[in-house]
Order: sequence, then structure tokens, then C-alpha cells
Amino acid sequence: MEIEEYYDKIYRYCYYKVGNKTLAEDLTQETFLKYLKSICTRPEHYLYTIARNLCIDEYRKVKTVSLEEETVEPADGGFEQSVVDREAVAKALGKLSEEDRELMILRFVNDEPLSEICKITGLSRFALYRRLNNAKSELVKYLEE
Amino acid sequence: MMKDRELKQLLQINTESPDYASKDAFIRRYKKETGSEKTGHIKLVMMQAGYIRKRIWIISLLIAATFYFPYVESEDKLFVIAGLMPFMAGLSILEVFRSEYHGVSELEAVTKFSAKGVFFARMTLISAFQLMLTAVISALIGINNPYGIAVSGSMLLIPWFITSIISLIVERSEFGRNNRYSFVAVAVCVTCIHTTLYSNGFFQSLDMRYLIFVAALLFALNVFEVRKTIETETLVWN
Repeated sequence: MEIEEYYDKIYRYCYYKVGNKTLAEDLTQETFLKYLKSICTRPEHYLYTIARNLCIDEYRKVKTVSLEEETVEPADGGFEQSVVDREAVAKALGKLSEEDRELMILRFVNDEPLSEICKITGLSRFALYRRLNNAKSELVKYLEE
Repeated sequence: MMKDRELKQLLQINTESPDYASKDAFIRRYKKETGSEKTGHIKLVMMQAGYIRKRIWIISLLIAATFYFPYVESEDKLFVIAGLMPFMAGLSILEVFRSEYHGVSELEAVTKFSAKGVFFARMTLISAFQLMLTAVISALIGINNPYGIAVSGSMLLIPWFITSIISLIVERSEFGRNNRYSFVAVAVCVTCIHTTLYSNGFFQSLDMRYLIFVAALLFALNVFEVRKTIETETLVWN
């Protein structure tokens, strides 16, 4: 397994579930450490399952910070447009329901194939397709607001 | 309505990324625990195959497929395909230098593979694929052609080698680094010269056997330029 490749994906997945950078980082690292203890031939799918369970455990412990409350920092320390875009994206994603946000992150940010998302979320292909379309329309609406 | 591709791009650029220092520290620790396995040359080449964009393979195949283009006279096919070879060579250069265009060459240089190894693996993969296509076309053309397979192959390879050599020289210069599509200019120039020479009957009047020596010479020069580029890139990255 190429950890470099999956680290960012799992981090983003956790971040948009818990809405906190430090916590997302801890959960990402814990996901990999748990994975290390297990034997699995399907890394990506299993990593998401571990991360998902860890995030659920975290919900039970504390109420998480809203995504909109997080400070948005520009990627390369600077451009106004970049800040505006990042803020708009964070706000729009924050307005989505948790399930929809999870789907958008998996499909549009982490670029996961539909078959993998079905396994991770337990949705049927048809249901996933329908929910992805709804989530996408909502996100675009929020982005254009 | 925003297209899927635009939305994906917007989200991917503007979503959170992990803190790289802590990521790097964790990965080092993780690898120590898992006992990172050593990657051999063949494995590295196979791994890099996954990172080469599909369009590069497809365009190379499309150029090769012009052999089946019905509107080109069979004796002209060799020269038409030879005229397209510079674009094939240019594409390989574009792909090999992709990390630099996207400004991630430094990042690539600090990963577990050496920049030299990655560059060489990508170059080997694309060149091997394109040369294999050229070999197939040469065989197909050479069978029904008075020039034979070796001369047909040389005819196709010469523009490819010339473009590759010039593009590598250009890529090492400041101009090449700042202009992503500089290879197009090189490819267009080589194609224009090739077409002009062909329409003036230059190739027809030539003793075609010499072309094999020219191709061999250009191959050696190309190897030299690739080596020089790899050394320069390593120096720049280090």
C-alpha cells in the first residue's frame, strides 16, 4: 500500500467528518495504525471503513466544531481569490448534510470509483447515483449563492 | 450549471490538505514500523505507468492508427506518419516534465524514489511504448514498400529522435521551463521541414540505406541528451 497516496484522502475524509484539523490528523494516523494491525488485501476500502468508525466514535465523545467555524488558510500563503474560493467551498460543504458531504468528498475530492463508495457507505449503486446528483445540485447552489 | 469536471477541480484545489511536516513525520515512523520494502527498477517503471495520463497513450495510438487512414495513398503513408512522429515525441517530453510544470518537482524529489529514477522510468515507459508502435507501423509499411522495414523504421524514427533531442535541449533552457507547450513549436518546425523536404523530392533522391546510419546516430545523440537532462535535473533538484 502506498501510504503517501492514501494519507491525504483519509485526512480529507476525516476532516470533513469531524471539522477539526488536529483531530482529523489524529484520526488519520490512528486509521493507519489500526490498519497496520490488521491484514487486508483491499486497502482503500478498509481504510475508509476504519476512518469512518473512528469518526463515529469521536462523535460520541464530543460535539465537533462546525466546518464554517474553522479558519481558512490559503494554500500557498496568499492570493485573495484562493482565500475566497476556499472559504466558499468550506461554507458550501458545511451546509450539506453529513451524508451528502461524505459522498461529495469521496467522489469529487478523493476521486473514488462508484463501486468503492458503494462498499464504504453501504448504498446501492442506484441510491448512490441519485444521492450524489442531489448533493451535487445542492453544493453548486450553495457555491453560486 | 457547473460541470462535474469544474466542480471536481474547484473542490480538489480548495479542500483541506494535511500538515506536511506532521504527515512526513508520521509516514517515516509508519514505514519504520512496517519495514519499507525496497523497490526495484522494474517495479518503479510499472508503478510510474499508472501515473502517465491516458491521453498520452491514446494520442500515441491515434497517430499510429493513421496507418489505416483510407484517404492517404499507400506510398505516402510512410511520410505522413513520419510527419506526425514529432508530435508523438513532443508528447512524451510533455509527460516526462509534467511534475515540473505543476511545480511539484521538489516534492517529488523528496519522496522515497530519486528524481532521477522517476524521470528515467517515465521516459523509458513512454519511449518504449512509442517505439513499439513505430516498430509495428514500420513492419506493416515495410512489407509492401520498396524501402523495406529497416529503412521505413528509420524514416519514422528520425523525426522522432530530432524532436526529442531538440525538445530536451529546449526543456533544459529557461524558455522551456517557462513554456509548457514549447514542444509544439519544435514538433511543428520538424514536421514543416520534413514535409518541405518530402514535397521537393529530397527523400526520393536519397540513398535510403544511409538513413539507417542517421537514425543510429540520432539514437546515440538522444541517449546522450536524456542522460544530460537527467543529470541536470538531479543537480537542479538537489
